[in-house]
Amino acid sequence: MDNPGKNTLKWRFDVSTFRLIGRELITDRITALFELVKNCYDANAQNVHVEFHNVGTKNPNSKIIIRDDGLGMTLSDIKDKWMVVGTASKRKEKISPAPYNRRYVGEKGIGRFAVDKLGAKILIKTKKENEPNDLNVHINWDMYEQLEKQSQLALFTDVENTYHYTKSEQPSAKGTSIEISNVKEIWTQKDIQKLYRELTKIVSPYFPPKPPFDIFVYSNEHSDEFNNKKVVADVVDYASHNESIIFNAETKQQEYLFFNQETKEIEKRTTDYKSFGPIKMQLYYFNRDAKAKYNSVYKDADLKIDGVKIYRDGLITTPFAEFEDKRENKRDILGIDKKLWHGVFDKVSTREIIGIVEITKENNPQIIDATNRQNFVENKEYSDLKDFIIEQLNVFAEVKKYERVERKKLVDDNLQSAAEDTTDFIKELDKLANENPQIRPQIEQVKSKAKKVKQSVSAGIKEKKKDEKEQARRENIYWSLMSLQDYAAHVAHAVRTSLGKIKRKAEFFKDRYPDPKFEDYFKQYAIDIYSEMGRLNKAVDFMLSYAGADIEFEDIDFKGLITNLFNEYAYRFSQENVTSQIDIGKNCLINCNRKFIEDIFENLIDNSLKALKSNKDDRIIKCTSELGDDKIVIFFSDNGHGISDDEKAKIFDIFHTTTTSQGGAGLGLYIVKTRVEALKGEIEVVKNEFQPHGVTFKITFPFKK
Amino acid sequence: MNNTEIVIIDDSFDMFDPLVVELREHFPAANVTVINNPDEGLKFVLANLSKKIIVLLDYNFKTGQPKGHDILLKIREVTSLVYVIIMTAKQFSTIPHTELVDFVNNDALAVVQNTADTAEILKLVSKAAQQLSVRVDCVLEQWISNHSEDKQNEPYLTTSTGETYTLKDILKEIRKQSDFGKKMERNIIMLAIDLLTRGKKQVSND
Repeated sequence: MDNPGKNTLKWRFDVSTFRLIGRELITDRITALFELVKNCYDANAQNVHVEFHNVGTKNPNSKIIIRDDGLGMTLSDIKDKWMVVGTASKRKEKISPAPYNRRYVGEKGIGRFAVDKLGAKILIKTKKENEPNDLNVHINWDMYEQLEKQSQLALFTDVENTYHYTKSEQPSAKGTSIEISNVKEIWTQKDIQKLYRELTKIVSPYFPPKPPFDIFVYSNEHSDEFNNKKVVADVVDYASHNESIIFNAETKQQEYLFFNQETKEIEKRTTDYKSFGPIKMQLYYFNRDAKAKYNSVYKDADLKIDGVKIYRDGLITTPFAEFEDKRENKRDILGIDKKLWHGVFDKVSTREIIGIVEITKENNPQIIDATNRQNFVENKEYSDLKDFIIEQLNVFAEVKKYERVERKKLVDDNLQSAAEDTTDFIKELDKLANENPQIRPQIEQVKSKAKKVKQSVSAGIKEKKKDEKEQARRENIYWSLMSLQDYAAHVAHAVRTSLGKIKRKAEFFKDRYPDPKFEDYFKQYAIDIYSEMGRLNKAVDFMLSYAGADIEFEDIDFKGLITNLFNEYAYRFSQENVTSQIDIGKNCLINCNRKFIEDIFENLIDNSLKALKSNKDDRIIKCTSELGDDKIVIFFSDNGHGISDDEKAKIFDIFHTTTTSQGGAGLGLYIVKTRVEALKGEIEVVKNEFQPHGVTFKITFPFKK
Repeated sequence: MNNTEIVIIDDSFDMFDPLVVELREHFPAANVTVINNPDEGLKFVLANLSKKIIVLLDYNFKTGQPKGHDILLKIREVTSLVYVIIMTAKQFSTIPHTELVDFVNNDALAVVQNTADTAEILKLVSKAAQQLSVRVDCVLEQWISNHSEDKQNEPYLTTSTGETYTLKDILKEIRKQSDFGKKMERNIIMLAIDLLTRGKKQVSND
């Protein structure tokens, strides 16, 4: 039976695929091992052993072994699945055989190439249940390296890998072991610890899969720590808040979190099941003190609190199951950090939350893995689930805001009472000196010190107030700058699209001019290039207005500002037969940037004037406001041609225009939106006030009475 | 290039774009279409599967519309025959890794910046056209699609080990690059060469 080297196997893909998948995608060894362990899960393994032998130094006897008790593979499995790229997408069954019923998680095509990351020589030993023999496949990546260096065309698939059978010592056993020798890089104890921590994320700490999926880590060099140490998630410690929500299957009620503004406490309330089905959720929030404690305990660790993960039937869902060293490269699929600047000072981020969301195949069938298995299918249910999770996090944002205010109040109170206390103290000293004239000189000395303290405290209070003002100013500037991030991306995209058009047309001239056959095109393209340049020019103007704009905030009399603006348009309004109405309540001061407000309303008015052109008579532009406790809502309406439902979603997109003939560059409403957002406001199109046609924009700004 | 559809799915193009004009000049026998809406573009592609199709697909569409990536995956759910060239205004480095991998794994022929020279894009389309005309599975699928459903499902070939294959099965095996499929592919080419070298004019000129 033992006939090594006689039989050969070939890969079925080319060099570029290998490079792309193996080298480019799997950039680190942790992901590589992680993928291999996920493959064990797919093979219905209950136990996986990850072993490190002599990997702490460059050692010819170094080895990494990943061993499982899963289904094992036959020769044809190896030939038709293992050595073919992308078999996962062609996998018919999405769920592994009973009693496991596991949803496949390994990204087939990756694990195998992952091996290359780890070491040059591979021995795969595998066996199905009740097979008498082990199948041994040898792969030597060094040969592929040599092949890549050759100058003549060589196909990767030409390399032959040998296989042979050996008699199994335990015929009843089953499973696969991948033995990687000539380990490429040194693994220190810290590296193994890092891997261990990543592996703890595979299985849900609260509702692990049944039958179980246990992972053990062994290292012969660090056997004191890793002597087949079972992978178990750390207990979350140091969190300041710990909340869990569940559901009641009988009453079909889903719990959710609610921050009670009266009691300043988090409560649990219930609601009907949401579209995505019932879920369980465990949330840990780390407030400022807790975060400091956590970070000091896990000083060297790279986990630094970790955001929200979704587990399905006890196993981590694929989008999250990958190691990423750099935080900025982590995929934030739930979008927790993405729009962070929208509430940058109070929203909670993935650095303050550890969350575990439990979904199941049975309860949440509409949360579907996307075909590329990098995310879930973007349907209504998934979108609702994301919203629901964010809503729960927002409860902690309320806590954060409350604690921030409380902290400030406490410091203010302390400072204030210190000032009062010193005043009392000085009075007491005077009293004492009057009663005991003999010690007056000494008391005077103490008194003069006390006076100095009082001055310092007063100066401190003053300084603090100044700081607060400065802080508020910086927050505002930060806001307007942060909105630039989105803005820069949009403008760059739009400018490039525009340049592409211009370039193609110019290229056409270069290649085809003066071929009379294309006479009409030449004329048209010249006009197109001209108007496209106009658009670019407007975009650049806008960019420059941002670059040059005074981004300071000031208290502005809102009514006065709007009235002035409308007055500036008075001539045009009368020329174009437009009636304007302003109905802005009692004078209110809002803290904002004058230029931004002007930009917003100038663009809205310009927009309305274009839309009103289609009205024969009776042209109205109207601006009204409503004051709330902490916001001002402005309604801006006209009775022009209005916006179709179809258009509503797109009107704020850059370079989207329906008025090209009137010189519309598609920037106006885009500017409005970016400016509104830079002022921490929101804008939307609501039901038009004027019937039968027209448009009404609802703009909301935060506001302090 | 007979019976070939070249379709540009991109919301920044119109029928008067120089690329459209040049495509018509270079591929006079092909039908060039511009579709601005990605969903309609997908519908068009799926409705024309019996033809040879080359798609120039924009990476990004307006808010609320599917992305080029989604459209590619939807096309691939149905067929691997369509050649897709992705065009984008994005910097390549800002395209997520996973999507680039999907592009490779789902046989996007190329990813090209939308500020690329028209000449460069024409070259890619020519490459697609060339590949379309010589791929055995394409030629075979074309041939099969001209037959009735019944005919397509009739057993066509029985191997020495007794397995029977319909024409569709053979096509599937070629696509899967199974041993049998590879053998069939080789045999078809060898047969073609054999016919060609017999000195009889059995293969028509087009």
